[in-house]
Amino acid sequence: MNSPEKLETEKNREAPAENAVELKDEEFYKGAEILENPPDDSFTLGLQTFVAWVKSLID
Amino acid sequence: MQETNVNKSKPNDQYAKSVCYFLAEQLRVRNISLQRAAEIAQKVVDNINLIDNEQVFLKLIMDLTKDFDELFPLTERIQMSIHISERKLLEGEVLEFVEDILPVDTHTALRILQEAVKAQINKDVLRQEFPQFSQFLEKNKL
Repeated sequence: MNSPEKLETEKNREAPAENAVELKDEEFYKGAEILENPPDDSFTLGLQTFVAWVKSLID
Repeated sequence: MQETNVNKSKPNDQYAKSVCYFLAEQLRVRNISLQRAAEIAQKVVDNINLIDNEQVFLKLIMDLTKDFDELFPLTERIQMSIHISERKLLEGEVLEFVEDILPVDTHTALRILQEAVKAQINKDVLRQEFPQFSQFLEKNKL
């Protein structure tokens, strides 16, 4: 029989997984497209755009 | 129109392009997470202005490999690219030398061509083996 403390601990451990952002295949493809087709043909800008886009997905 | 775009791109944008294509490829096969790819992208952006040749680019990527082992295949690609660039440069120099020497020394011209096509050849070996080639490079500052 599990003690109430232990059950509480397990629940807490599972909580972040429930809140984690689940990314779909389409988002991986979208990310790849941003990197391959950067604005103004500037790949440095492409990297920056990609970073900003990933941040917007996760936040 | 295309010329405008070329002028807009910084010379070191080619290194950003290598990273972009590599990360895109890794994302498509899900070899890397979006978060990790974004962290790598940010590190490259932070250092892009310091990269002015392939050797510096290789050093940066090798340094990043300590924290991002996903980048290991990219280091191999850069090393291969450096090898190909050096090889092309050497071939060009040998051809210029051959054009110069052919009318007066056919034998040396043919010998250096035969040596230059060998897989493991490098500039130092050719310079040692053919002092005239070494002098030619010094004279023409190649």
